[in-house]
Amino acid sequence: MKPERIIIVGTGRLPCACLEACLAGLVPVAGVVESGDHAFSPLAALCQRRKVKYTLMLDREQLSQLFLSINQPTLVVSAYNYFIFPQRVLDNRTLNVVNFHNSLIPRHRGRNAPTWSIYEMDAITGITWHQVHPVVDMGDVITQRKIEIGRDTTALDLTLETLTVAAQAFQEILPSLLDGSYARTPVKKNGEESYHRSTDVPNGGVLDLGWSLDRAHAFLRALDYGKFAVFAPPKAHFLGMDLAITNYRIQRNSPNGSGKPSLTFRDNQLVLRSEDVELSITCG
Amino acid sequence: MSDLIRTLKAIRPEADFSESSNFIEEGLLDSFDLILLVSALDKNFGISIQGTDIVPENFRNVQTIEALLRKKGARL
Repeated sequence: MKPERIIIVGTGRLPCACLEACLAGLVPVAGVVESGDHAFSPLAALCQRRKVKYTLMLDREQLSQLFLSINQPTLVVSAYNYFIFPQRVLDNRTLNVVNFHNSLIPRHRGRNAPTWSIYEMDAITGITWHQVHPVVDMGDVITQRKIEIGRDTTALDLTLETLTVAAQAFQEILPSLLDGSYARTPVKKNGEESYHRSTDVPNGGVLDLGWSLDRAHAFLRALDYGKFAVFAPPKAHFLGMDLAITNYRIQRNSPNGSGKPSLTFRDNQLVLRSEDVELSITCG
Repeated sequence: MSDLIRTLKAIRPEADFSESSNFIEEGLLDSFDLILLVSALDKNFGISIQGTDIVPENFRNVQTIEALLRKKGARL
């Protein structure tokens, strides 16, 4: 089904990039719906500048009613959108809903995928544009792009990179979304499937001091969204003390490195050493 | 160019911050930019901006950011 119009739903910079891609391709956009935290979102301003209808809608029932009321072929671009399309909305056959997910599905479906990719020490993650399916993040894959995870990459870094890569990928698939020629590949069930809820936190948010230094560093990077309070600050338990971790720093080729793994605690600093690497963890 | 404008330009080189009276409403900075900006301000000005300070009112324009920096003890 070729869409007669496009609606973009989401929040923040990715729906902005999708809107710009549509307008650059002279593709008319019927409206943009901001469906999430909008305090710092540039979407409203962009829509005003580009003279595109903008609606702020946070209520799930209202969002459902909006999509149920559509009765002409419409491509719905779900870009950084936490509204889960219920079955009754997906039953509206005039809608073709495509969604961005910030991992290579079926690995790390659900929330906070960059966190889980880093925590599980994946070498590669990526992004997926997929058809929306009643089972979250399991719809047919339209396109995927791989992203290498660097050894110092934080969850914030990776989130930003997924958004950049997703915007580029959307620009590339847009013509095929409009003429209906895009690829639809069923999700490969390869034993790598995982799903994470918004309430799930790696290791319950507690740094295990028995981990290897690389593992500990991955855990800290996985929870590191800068000053975004995505998760509560990580903790460590040491000699009966509950320590809240406020900062961390890794130093490679450290002159203080030790041949064998060691752990010290002094002046609110936990220091893990291994060979020539030192991970300093500041506790509050 | 002030240190603050230099810091802003490092995050969004294409934006003209001197022409804007409201960085948030005019779409010059989004939430990710703000987090990067706050980290850069902490580092460049030797201060610590708390999560509770990250509200639109503090990041509307150069003047409101400077006011926040002064409140946090930065020398401008």
